[in-house]
Amino acid sequence: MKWLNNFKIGTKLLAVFTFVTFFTAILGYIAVYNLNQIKQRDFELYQVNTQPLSEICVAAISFQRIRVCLRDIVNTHDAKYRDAIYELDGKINDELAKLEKTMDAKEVSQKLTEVRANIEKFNVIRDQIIDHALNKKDAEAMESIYHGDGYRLAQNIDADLQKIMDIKVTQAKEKSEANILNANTAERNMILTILLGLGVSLGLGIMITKNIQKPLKQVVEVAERISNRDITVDVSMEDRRDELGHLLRTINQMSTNLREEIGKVATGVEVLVVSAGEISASTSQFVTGAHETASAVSETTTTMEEVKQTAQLSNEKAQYVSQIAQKAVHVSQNGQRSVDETVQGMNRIKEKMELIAEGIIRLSEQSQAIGEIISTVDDLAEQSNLLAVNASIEAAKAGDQGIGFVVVAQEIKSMAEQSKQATSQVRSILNEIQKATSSAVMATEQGYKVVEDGVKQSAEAGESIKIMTKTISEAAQSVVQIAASVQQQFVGMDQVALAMESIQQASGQNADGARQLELTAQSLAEMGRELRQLVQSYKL
Amino acid sequence: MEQDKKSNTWEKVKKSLLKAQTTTAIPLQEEKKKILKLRAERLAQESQGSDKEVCIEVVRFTLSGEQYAIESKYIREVFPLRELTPLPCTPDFVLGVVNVRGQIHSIVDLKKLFNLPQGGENKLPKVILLHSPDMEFGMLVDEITGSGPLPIAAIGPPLNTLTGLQLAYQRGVTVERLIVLAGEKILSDKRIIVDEEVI
Repeated sequence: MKWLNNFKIGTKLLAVFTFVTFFTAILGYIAVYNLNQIKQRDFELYQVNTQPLSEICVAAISFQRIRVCLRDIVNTHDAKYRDAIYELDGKINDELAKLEKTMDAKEVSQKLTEVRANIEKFNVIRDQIIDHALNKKDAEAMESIYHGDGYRLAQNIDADLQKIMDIKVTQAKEKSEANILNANTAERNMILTILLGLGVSLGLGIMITKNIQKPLKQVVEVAERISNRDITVDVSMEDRRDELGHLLRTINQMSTNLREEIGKVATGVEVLVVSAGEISASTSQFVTGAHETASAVSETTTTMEEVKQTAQLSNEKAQYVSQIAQKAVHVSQNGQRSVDETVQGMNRIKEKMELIAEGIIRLSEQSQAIGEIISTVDDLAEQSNLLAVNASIEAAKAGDQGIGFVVVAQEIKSMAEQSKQATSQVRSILNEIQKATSSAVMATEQGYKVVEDGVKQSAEAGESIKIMTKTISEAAQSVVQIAASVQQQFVGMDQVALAMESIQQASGQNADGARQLELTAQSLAEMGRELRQLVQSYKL
Repeated sequence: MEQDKKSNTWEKVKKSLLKAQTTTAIPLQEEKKKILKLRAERLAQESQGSDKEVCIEVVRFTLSGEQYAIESKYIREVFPLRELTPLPCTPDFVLGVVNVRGQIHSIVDLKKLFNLPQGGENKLPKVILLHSPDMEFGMLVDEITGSGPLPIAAIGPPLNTLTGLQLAYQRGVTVERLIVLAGEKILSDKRIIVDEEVI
């Protein structure tokens, strides 16, 4: 039986089933063959023996009816019976033709020929009878019918038909018997075949079942032990090359692998337990961190709101500054115009100052001239005085005659004195004027310098204001840009605020997630411990 | 405010200018007449006064701030000192010589003679030309203050405190501290005649 071990289970089962199928086919063939034979005979029984019986009967009946009709014609002299007879004639012919087809025995066909010949003869007689009958020769007709050839022929025909019927019945009986015999033979053969097939199939089945069952039991035992966490199994196995051998080897390998892997799993589970602990701790920290993050984000959101408000304020301020810068541009332009006008005015002042200086210089020159004139007048007064003195001296020398001249001299002297006083007054006034003039000259000079400085400074101021105008224009443009930037910043702040809200939500979810993660980490640690117990429960 | 102030000052200036013009302007005809009338009245009074007393006609002058007077009859004329020609080899009181209408006169500095301090008046000095029948010279003075009659009664005795030439040339002093010089003494004084020869 060792060789059987080397076939695969499929092959074995296929062999058994092939065998069984083969037997079944043989059995079927025998059955079908015998059934076909029986069916053939049965068909023949009906076609050749049973069917003709009815035809014969129909023919016999039709013949009898013809005879009846003949009698009716004789009795009634009615022509319609003649037509019926002819109709029946046709029927008989048809039936006989059918009968002729199923003729198989020589005896039968001989009888049938006789019948046909007799019918031909009878027909001649019959036609005579019909004529007689129609010609009202009743006696002759009756004679022909009940006596004579007609009667004889009719008897013969009946007898022949009966004979044929007998032959047919006999044949049927024979065929039926043969059928029964055949069926019995077939039954016997089939029983034998079935018995043989049963025996062989059973033997093969038991053999193969045993062959499969034994190692399968072993496998089941091993599997049970493995299922009971005993993987110390080492199956001692036969040298088999079928699936079971393969299965045993595989299970062996599996248990070996399981031992190794569970060892590794045990190590891994240890690591897992430790790691799960660490993860749990880290997750706790993470939870704390997430909470802190959430609160920080919340604070940041608040700050963002403040920053947003500040940005709005900045925006407004920037708008305001922009307007102010526009105004400043206007003002500086006005200032530039004013400074230009100032420069022109200063130039005019300069011209006027030059005129004033010229005037004052002329004035001082003229006051100088006046001084000279005064000196001259003074001198003249002095001389007049002296002249008066001389005149009075001369008058004194003249004595009494000179008294009037003395008066004139006195008068001249007093005039000279008055003019001297006047000149001294004029001189003092002129001194004042000269002082004033010189101080005016100095003041004019200083004023001229100041005006020059003023011209220069106003020109510089004009330049400065021009630069300032330009600068302010640039500043205004910058401010407009700043305003735009601040606007964008404000929009950006809005977006940031939205983003911060999203972050806040996310951080809230994060915190929730971290809490769940913590729970998960704890369950992981729990699971690790359970796994450790599970792994320890394995016998290695 | 500033402008108001300035305009005020300008207004002031204009006003003062107007005032100056009115004061320096030539007086009106009526005022002139008024002044002349007043002066005539005064002169009339003085002449009445001089009739009562015996007067001498004098010319008043100043020397180093002091009032001097000299009788008009010794004076030929007075004139301002111009184009003085210094003379070499003369005493220091002889300043030089001048040409008066073709006549050469020597000029004597009274301050040197009287030992008065030099300087004083900056103005052009005047010369009083003294003369007598045998002497004629110019006397340099600071200022001719006037001429007129002087009552002889008003002339007091000379001051005893004076010495030298001052005392010698003095006739007397009035109560107004007017020193009246004696012209005849000055003219006849030999000390001022210079007669030196230079080899």
